[in-house]
Amino acid sequence: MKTVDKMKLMHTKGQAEIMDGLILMLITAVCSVVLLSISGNYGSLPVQIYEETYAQKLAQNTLLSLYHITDQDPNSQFYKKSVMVAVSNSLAKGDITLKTPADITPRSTISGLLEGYYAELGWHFMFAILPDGVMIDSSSIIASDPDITTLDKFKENVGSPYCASAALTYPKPTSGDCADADIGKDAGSMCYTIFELCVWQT
Amino acid sequence: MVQSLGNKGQGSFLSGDIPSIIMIVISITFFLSSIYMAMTNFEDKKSDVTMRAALVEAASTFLKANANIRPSDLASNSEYWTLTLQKIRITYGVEVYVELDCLDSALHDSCYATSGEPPPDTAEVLSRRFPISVKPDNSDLDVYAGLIKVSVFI
Repeated sequence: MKTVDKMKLMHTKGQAEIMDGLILMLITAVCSVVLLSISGNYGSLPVQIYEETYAQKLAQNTLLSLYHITDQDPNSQFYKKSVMVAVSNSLAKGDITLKTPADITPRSTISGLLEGYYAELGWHFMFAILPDGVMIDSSSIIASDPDITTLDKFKENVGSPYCASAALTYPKPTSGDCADADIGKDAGSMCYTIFELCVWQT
Repeated sequence: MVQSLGNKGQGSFLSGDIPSIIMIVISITFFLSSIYMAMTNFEDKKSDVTMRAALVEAASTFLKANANIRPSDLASNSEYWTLTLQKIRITYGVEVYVELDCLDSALHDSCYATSGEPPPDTAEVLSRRFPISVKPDNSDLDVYAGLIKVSVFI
């Protein structure tokens, strides 16, 4: 073999080894990126699900708490009832706004409780009645956020709240018609309506 | 002259094995460090997922305890609460510290209770608080708005 040919062969050999090295680097780079991407995203879906579940539990816990918390009747030294019994009594009178006298202990009214929870937890809370079980009645909205006063404002300002709902029974109004004031439905000797509690973070 | 060129080519840094050896070493080192980083990521995320799962489990547990929980029961490590918290500890392999408090400032002193060992300052702690209704120790007639804080750490 001539010297020139030998030189060409050696030169080609050097280039081929560099190409091998570059290809190897490319392969390892791709593999590393894939590996880091997989490990970086690992657990993100379960974490998201757990966060949503926590928010859901927050709404459920709050809703259930309202059933038990004691409300002292301001007109009686002894009479105590659950906050939701007070709500039930208001509904029986056709009062869907659920406004309570100002002299009641703040922590035993719906609005006082929701404001207290917001102050402590940093989540906003909204309580509302759904007369048809689907749509919120604007006049019944009680929210820890003072800007949320109507259904439209709730839709505008709150992105994706987490909500829990339940039924509440109340005595029939004097007229005996549960549909009075468009609040509830007949449940035999009682009436019932659906209410909802939503939580969200700003 | 041709001989001279040949010698020059042989002596070039790019014509030998050295560049490819360097690239192989860099590639292997890079790949091994990626595996190490990925493993670290996996471990961190796994721990985070476990702790969040434990918090959701705790939230569910205390949801059932609404209006049935008394500060003294929790503080005295009653059998029910000991077993309940033990179940979370064993299932998720985490330590659990629970703090119960009333929302009313007037009741704070009589309402505050804890269960478990508080997390050390150096531990990575994940905490969540949620509402719960609390029966005070001195009354069967009242139920107050309370907050429960569950902290989990490894």
